[in-house]
Amino acid sequence: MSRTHPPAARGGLQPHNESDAGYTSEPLPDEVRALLRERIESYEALEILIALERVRGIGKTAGELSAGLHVTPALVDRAVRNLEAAGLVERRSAVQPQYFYAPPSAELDCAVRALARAYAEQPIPVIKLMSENAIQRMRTGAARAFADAFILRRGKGDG
Amino acid sequence: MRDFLWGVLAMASVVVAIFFFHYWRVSRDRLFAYFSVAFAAMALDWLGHALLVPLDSVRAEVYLTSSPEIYLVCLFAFVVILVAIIDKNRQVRRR
Amino acid sequence: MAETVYALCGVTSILCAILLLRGWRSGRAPLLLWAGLCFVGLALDNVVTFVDFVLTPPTVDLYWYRTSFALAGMLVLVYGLVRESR
Repeated sequence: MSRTHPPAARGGLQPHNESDAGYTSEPLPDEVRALLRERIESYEALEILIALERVRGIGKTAGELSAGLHVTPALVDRAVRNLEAAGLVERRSAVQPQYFYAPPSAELDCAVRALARAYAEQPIPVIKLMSENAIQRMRTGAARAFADAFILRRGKGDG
Repeated sequence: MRDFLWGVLAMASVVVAIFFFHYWRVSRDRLFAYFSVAFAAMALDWLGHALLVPLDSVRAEVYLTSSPEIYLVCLFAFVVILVAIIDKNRQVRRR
Repeated sequence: MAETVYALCGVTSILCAILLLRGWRSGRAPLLLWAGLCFVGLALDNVVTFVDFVLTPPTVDLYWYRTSFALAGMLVLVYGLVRESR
């Protein structure tokens, strides 16, 4: 089954044209669930990751991402920082900083491609899982802050 | 009184260990498992004080000669914490 | 040997306290403050124990200082954990 339009162009919770409307009997694969749980914190990050994966090898600036995905620049900034911290996206500074899809391993690359496929074919389970992860993240915020405190090298320039 | 206070410390440690155990179950972050074990060990350390140190004297020489092994439990607890920190940083680097 | 252990435990506690309080100062969760103070208490417990066993004569007993610091630290952490669980 091939999609003629990229996931990013759909921009939101629009239903599929197909009869199953996102409810398939297949559960999301484990590596996709792990990827969503551990490295992707927002819908913007998901859309940006998928957009960059589609054009792998070509860099996009924050402005291009913002325009192409109809996301405000502030949200784009936050999302690419999330993806950079997750190790999925690399920033290279030319005249303007450009972002490249740069998975650290072949397994993660497979997982991202599986995620892109899953989001194209059955977006609702992906979105549902992301909502559940977001709630879980809120509930474990203090715990995560505790664990993160023990990371010796802090790249975010805080304090 | 001293036994009572060691008991309070042991109980507080157990409670903390339970909280960290819960955090580990929820977040799946190994760091919490390590901290849970460390605080459980600290509870044992304080329990050991209550059981092994003679009530009428907690002076250094009595303490150390009557129950020298207690400090090994304390050592274990803090080594586990160091392992937790090292493990966490290695996890982060590997990402 | 015991003295070395208490010194090591003290150093580890101080390290944990520094990391947690640094994390708290970065504007994050209150739990880091409570946990940081707990490790300050434990650090003081270990340091005073070291002083008690190594530096002071046997006639001096610093038990109450050691235990008070440890107690304060542990109770503060329990309070913080219970608060966070609400």
